[in-house]
Amino acid sequence: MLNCKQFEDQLPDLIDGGEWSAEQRAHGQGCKSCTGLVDDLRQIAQDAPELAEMHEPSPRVWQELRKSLLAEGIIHPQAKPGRLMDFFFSPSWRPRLVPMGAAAALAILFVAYKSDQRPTNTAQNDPAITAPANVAALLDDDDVQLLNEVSSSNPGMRATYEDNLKNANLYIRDAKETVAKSPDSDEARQDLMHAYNEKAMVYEMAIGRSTH
Amino acid sequence: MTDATQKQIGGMSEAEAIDRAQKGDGEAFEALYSLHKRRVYSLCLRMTGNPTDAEDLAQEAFLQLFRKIATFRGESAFSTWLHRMTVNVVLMQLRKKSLPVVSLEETTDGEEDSPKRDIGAEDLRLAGAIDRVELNRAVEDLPPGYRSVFVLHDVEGFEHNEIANMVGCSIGNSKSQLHKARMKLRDILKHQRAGKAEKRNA
Repeated sequence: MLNCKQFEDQLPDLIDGGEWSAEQRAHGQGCKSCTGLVDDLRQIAQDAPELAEMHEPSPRVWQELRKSLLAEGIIHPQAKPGRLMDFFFSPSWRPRLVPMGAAAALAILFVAYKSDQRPTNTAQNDPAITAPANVAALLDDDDVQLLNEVSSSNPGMRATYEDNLKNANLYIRDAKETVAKSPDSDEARQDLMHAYNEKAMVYEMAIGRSTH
Repeated sequence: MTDATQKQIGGMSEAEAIDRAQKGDGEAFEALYSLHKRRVYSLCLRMTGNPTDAEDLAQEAFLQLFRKIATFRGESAFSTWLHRMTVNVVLMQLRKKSLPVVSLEETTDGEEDSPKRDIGAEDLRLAGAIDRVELNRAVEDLPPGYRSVFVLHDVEGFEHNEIANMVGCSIGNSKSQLHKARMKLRDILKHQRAGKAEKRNA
């Protein structure tokens, strides 16, 4: 009859579908602690693939990649704009250009008006509109408070969470800019949702960490 | 590995996007990027633990892929080809930075840091499905040497012989590292839950 130590030593071959001997099966059935261990390890292995597509890169990755592809001549710059112009100037779109232009002009005026109304310290409070050069200002008051909580519970993780938050804020800012440029694009709006989800996930993880 | 060939991206199938990308169609490159970006970036992030490095590595992996796309003949799934390339890019970076790809324990045969179980003592069970965020946080806390094999096997679905080739260890070591990584994760998850329960009861 195997003891628990011997059983555990043989587990690496058994968890992922290896053949169980009669001796191993007998121990597995008779020992509550080892049965629990096998179930937990299988559960971890079963749930792990859900992590595979968990995070979204910021739009900057594609922008930089596209620049490299253009620089190396793998793709050509005129391809996309040409198609877009062909699309807008096609006979079915031509009659809509005047009202669309008017709507766009109104939208620009509205944004410009709102910018004038914004208090001067807003940039500090809204990381998503902070200038890219000032990376430190990418964190708002809530972010700083969260980082302080992470610091007090696990100082070693502060830098990682700070990076994650700045990254999420940059992503939100980029995604907002894309939505502002293409307000009708479903993809742009979806990207913004992803960006907010990414930040929410950082908060969720950090809060979970600081409560234990 | 996930087969993405049936997915539609930007109105085209993956096979069509590959065909068009091989002819230099920019939109096809973007479509392939959109289809695989989350998987590639998540892999880079989990292996390095650093978002900035992960973005650079994801970009590098895609760049290498797109440079070689004309040579893709479809003998293996496109996603397998891409993910193998991504793993190679990440492993090269880890080696450059002298970060451990597998735990040093396998070479020294020491047991100092390996997860232990109090045999005979009452063992707390995880009992049931593990929340994705909870598991992600636990993987973050794994020592880097354990993390690579766990991510490659359990998250990405590579076999031990493939991992042994990529990482440069034996199949036995890959199995043993994976087991230790899972044991360590179980410990971390139990501590997380015990901490939460304590907090609730306080």
